[in-house]
Amino acid sequence: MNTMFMSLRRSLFVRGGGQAARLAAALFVSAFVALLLGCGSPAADPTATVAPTVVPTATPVPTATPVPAATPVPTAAPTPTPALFPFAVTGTDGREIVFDAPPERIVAIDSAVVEILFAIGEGQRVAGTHDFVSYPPETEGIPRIGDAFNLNNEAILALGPDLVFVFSEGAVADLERIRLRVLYLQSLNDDLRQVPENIRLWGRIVGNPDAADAVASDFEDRVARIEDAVAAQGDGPSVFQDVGGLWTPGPDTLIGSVFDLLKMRNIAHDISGYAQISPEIVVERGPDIILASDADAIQGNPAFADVPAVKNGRIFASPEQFSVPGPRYIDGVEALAKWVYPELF
Amino acid sequence: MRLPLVRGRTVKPRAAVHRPPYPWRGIAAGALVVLAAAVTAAGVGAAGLPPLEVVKIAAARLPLLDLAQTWPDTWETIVWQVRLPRIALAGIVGAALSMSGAAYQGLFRNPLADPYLIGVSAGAGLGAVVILVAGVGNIGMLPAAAYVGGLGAVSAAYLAARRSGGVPLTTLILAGVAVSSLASALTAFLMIRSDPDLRPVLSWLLGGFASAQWTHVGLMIPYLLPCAALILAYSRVLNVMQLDEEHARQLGVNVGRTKALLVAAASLATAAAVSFSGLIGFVGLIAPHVARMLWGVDYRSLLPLSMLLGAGFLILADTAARTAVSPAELPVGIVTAFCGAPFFLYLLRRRRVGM
Repeated sequence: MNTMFMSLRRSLFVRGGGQAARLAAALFVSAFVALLLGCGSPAADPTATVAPTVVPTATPVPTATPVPAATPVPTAAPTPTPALFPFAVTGTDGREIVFDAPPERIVAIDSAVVEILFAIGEGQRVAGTHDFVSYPPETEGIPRIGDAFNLNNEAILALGPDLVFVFSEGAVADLERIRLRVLYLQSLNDDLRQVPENIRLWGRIVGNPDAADAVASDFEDRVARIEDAVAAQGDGPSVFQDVGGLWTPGPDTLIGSVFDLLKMRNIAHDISGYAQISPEIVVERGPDIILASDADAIQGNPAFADVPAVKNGRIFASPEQFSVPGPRYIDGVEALAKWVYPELF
Repeated sequence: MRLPLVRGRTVKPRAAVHRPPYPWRGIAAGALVVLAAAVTAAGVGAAGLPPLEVVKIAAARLPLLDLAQTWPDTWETIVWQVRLPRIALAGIVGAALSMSGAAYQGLFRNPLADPYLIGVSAGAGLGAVVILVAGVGNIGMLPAAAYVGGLGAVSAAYLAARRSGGVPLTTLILAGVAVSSLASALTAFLMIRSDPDLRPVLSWLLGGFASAQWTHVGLMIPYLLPCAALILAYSRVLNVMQLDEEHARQLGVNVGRTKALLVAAASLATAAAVSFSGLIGFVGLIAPHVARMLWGVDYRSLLPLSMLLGAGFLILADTAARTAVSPAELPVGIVTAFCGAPFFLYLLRRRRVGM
């Protein structure tokens, strides 16, 4: 059981930032319950509590489904240019999904996709999302269908979606069993430059490539401007990011690629993905800069008193934008760039 | 009824008046285990300090030695602010959990009783999460909050299981499981419905000593010492109670009050441990049983030996946790189960001794 626990723990941080913590909490919580039950009682079956499929999939009664407010009539939609469709997307699981027309009612179980759709002016297509989506403010009225790891399939069905997007593979089979069209794409977790690609992809899917291209190009231009500005720089400061409890990203993460862009040297260069780093490594490698979700925990630890970042007060509060790999991510990158190189920006 | 008192030797009840010799050797062996574990633990780590230098750095602070500092300041920090407080805290937490486990096993006459089983850990976790999620108070309040939660959970289980004639064991265990589930469900609910950044809560609940500081050691001791003193003082009562409550009553023991007192003390020690180390399973179960297998069931020796074994075991487990995948760390609970369980099974097979 504990091994399962560890893999869960590792996956908690793959998504990178602040709001991911709530998703992580949702995932963690089921494991936590299992831990307590499992350790406490030999009779309790831990698998019974962790199974992600506690949702009532057993009773898909399509006849009982309430009719959605807006019946999807793809053929009546005037937006698609004939050249744009059909359009095929291959999911992370290798299956191809062909769009003959833009999906009108998307249940997007992913903060980044919701932000992308709103950023390219297609937010009206979002019919439902998960509990922790809070940006942009217009998302407030969108129906919620669960906490991203525990989905309420009945609620999804009731929304009458013509596309369900998920970033983790767990729910795909269940959703397909109730005859929903599911696109599964792993969320971006290793390269900043994939964010604009993803924006363009969604522009194609919803039949609005021009708006998407404008947003994506702006993103790329801003990355390029940062790249130019730091081009003349030699090695930048060494950096350590504490996302909580000394969990830190390695070079093969989204934020890792941001450090590369800014020529910052990540002290966790030998960490893969996200892992909890030994405090003595932080002391030994003495980072010049620390990105922290909880600066007090760093400053209050006597072991870190002589770390250059702490001694010189170079602790940066990770901006909220770093939690969602969407169009706003570049705002966070720019804020960090300005803070690290005030003379350049 | 035949009472296995020492090492498989069985003694008739009447002979129980003769006390078995106090196992000083066992205590000495246990203390040596802890010392060896601590020295080993100080010598290894993710940062590549030569073990001999570590010994010098540690010894340099002894009043009589006058060693000039020939090592970098970072090494000094690593030894004195990272490794040593961590070893101390792991040892104290291991001792606290093992002592509580031993006490619960005797009080409830159940070999499976440990802080997890009767809801103490889950309740303590809930109490601490309330503090962390509400964002009030500071780390010094965690033990108190965890204590309220832990004691609340165990009291709820106890009251639910109570009948006019006493507390039937099966009912108590079942009630404990139910209370545990309720407490963890509440914890889960609070975590899902609260402020977005839960990572500190998550890391804390998952357990471990990565953020151990001397302050934590200092905060832990005032909780542990009185509890240990109280429980140790009741060793002989526990000897009787682990066999038969009726017998204890006849000997003039106020069973109800004694139980309540000892449960409170064991729960306080557990709660303090949970609040600084998160939820670490298995230590409270394995250490008392190993002590029993090796040195017998006399609580006068069982309690101190359990504490020593628990301390040594958790120090070594934490050493493995911070070196196995260095520079990253493992949650120490994984290590305790991974190393502890097979060893425990081996002992069970070899000695063929029940409780």
